[in-house]
Amino acid sequence: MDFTLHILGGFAALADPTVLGYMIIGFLIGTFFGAVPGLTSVLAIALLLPITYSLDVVPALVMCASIFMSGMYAGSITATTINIPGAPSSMMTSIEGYALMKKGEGANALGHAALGSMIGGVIGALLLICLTPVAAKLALLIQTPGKFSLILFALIVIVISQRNAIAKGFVATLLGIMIATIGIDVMQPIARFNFGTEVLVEGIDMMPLIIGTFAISEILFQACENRNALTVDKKIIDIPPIRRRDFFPTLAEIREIGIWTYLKSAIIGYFIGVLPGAGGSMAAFVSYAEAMRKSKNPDLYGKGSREGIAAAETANNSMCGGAFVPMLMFGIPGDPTTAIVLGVLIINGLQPGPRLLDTQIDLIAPMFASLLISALVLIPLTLYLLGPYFVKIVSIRKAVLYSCIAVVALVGSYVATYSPFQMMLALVFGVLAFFLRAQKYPTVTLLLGFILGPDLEQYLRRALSLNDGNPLTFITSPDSLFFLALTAVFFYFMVVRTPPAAKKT
Amino acid sequence: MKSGSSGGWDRRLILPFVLFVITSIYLATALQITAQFDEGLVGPSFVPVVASILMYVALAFVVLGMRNETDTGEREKLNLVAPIKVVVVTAIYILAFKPLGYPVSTFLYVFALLYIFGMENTGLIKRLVYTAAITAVFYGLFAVIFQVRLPLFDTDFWGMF
Repeated sequence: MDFTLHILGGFAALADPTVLGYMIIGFLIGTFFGAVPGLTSVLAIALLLPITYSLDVVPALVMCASIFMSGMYAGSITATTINIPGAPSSMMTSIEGYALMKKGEGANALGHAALGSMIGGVIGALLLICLTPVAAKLALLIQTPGKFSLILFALIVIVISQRNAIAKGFVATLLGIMIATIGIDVMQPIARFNFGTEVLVEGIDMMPLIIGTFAISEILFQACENRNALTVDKKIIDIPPIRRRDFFPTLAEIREIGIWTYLKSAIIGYFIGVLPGAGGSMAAFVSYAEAMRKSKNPDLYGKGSREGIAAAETANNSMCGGAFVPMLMFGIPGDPTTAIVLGVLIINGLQPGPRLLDTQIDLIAPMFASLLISALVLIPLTLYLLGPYFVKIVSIRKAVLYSCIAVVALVGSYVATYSPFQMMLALVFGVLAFFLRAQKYPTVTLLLGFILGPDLEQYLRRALSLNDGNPLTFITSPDSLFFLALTAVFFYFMVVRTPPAAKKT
Repeated sequence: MKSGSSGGWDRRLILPFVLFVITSIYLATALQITAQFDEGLVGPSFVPVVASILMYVALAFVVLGMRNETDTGEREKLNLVAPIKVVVVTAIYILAFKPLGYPVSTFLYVFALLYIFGMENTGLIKRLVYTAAITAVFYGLFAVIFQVRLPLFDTDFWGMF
């Protein structure tokens, strides 16, 4: 009952004009970053991270949630209109949406994408609200050896989900873990890897790592790519005007897609979101494939299937709700965006874990409400108000855009400690991430290794010291054994049973 | 393993090699860590040592995996001139940020970035207007809206000369 009241309180918090304003600003920022090819909602939240130092925790989290939801949806805009997915999770939408666009039904495709995103976002947020207390109760049952095995499971799943780059994912994860060991040891009051300097004794802050990995490396990448003046070529955006009245999907089309398709896609998306490292792309792909498998009109797929758009968009927005569960309950981010939201929580002194619902639910509840309201109200409203102008909005001068991002990223790094050292660290990590990305190393795993590494080490050492150094504790403890077995199951299905062609390094 | 450049040296090996060197320095440092109290085998150096060993193994897999990458046509050669320019101007910006202050250093930085990102053919006046606008907008965002104390011209620093 208390939990329900707090959730209702979260909705009431959104009535505060300041908080509401941040939610709307966040939504618009997320829509812009999600729609512009090359920019992502991850980058948007990374740039927002330093600003959260100056914000209260509630508006900061509300803003993060609306950026996450809108960024996931907005990728479908350019995917449909110009066949360039604004976000990787809109790849499936571009196949079907652009085919409809070529038939002159682009506005209808955008309408279906928005409807799917709305339904998925709402179901994902509702499942998050309903299942979080259950997850919290389960989380309380996990003891120290189990916590170690859970983090190990998360790290291994994150690495093996990099299907074409498992070894590279492993390298990036280990690099993240190694960077995280710099500074004071997790159990003893000694400094490690500070190389005689004072600045490294406190360790590496999450902010320069995030800004370097996601913002600076992107700027460097854009610098070496073709020097087009605009983010989207003028010739490409020269498309017939889109009329508002065409956005609305007809009842017959919705009936043809079927409520079950929406529901199933939302559930698939949510539970894929719960898995560490899976993310929106996998949610959209699995749901799209499942919809195609069960479709009455599989021949339409690839030629403009509204069902395909609905399945992919419902799943990737539902994923947003699922990704928050492991992050809030275990401190294990489900995807890169929640990894950065975790940073926002930590910066604001919130410790993820089952106790979060007891002690700080009043701070978390508005974030849940923001996810739901963003999906239910802001997605359709944004499409209706800005839909006809979307393609024009995303076509801006690259030089201006990336200069702005560079200033926000670097000044943002300075904000944390008022020290240019943080700015320099951001640059160093940016250069490192640039070279990693250039050789197809997944940088997301670097960040997750950095975030999860200290907990992995702490629980390993604590579990062993509590059990006289006996490593059998990880097998004799039922919760630990469960996660180790789960790791083996995932490893079997994702690596061993995978066809050899998919196991490229 | 095919050569990624005109010589016999495969450019793709540079990153694994750099990571190998970093790991070796890291491992050597890890082995010198002295614990304040005995935790048995799993002390402060345990995870770093294990991470280093796993890194060597993973790097070996990465390098061996390069043999199987037969389609060299897919590999793009990155033009590093512009990114190097960005890194250099960014490093100078960071060094100048406190002594010159936000307004001057950011103005010069943005002006340089606009040039690197392909606005060299845009008229000087237009570029100056863009530069001034970007500098002012983010000053407004950080210093006015979010009340961040941004450095202005450091008179103490320049007084030394």
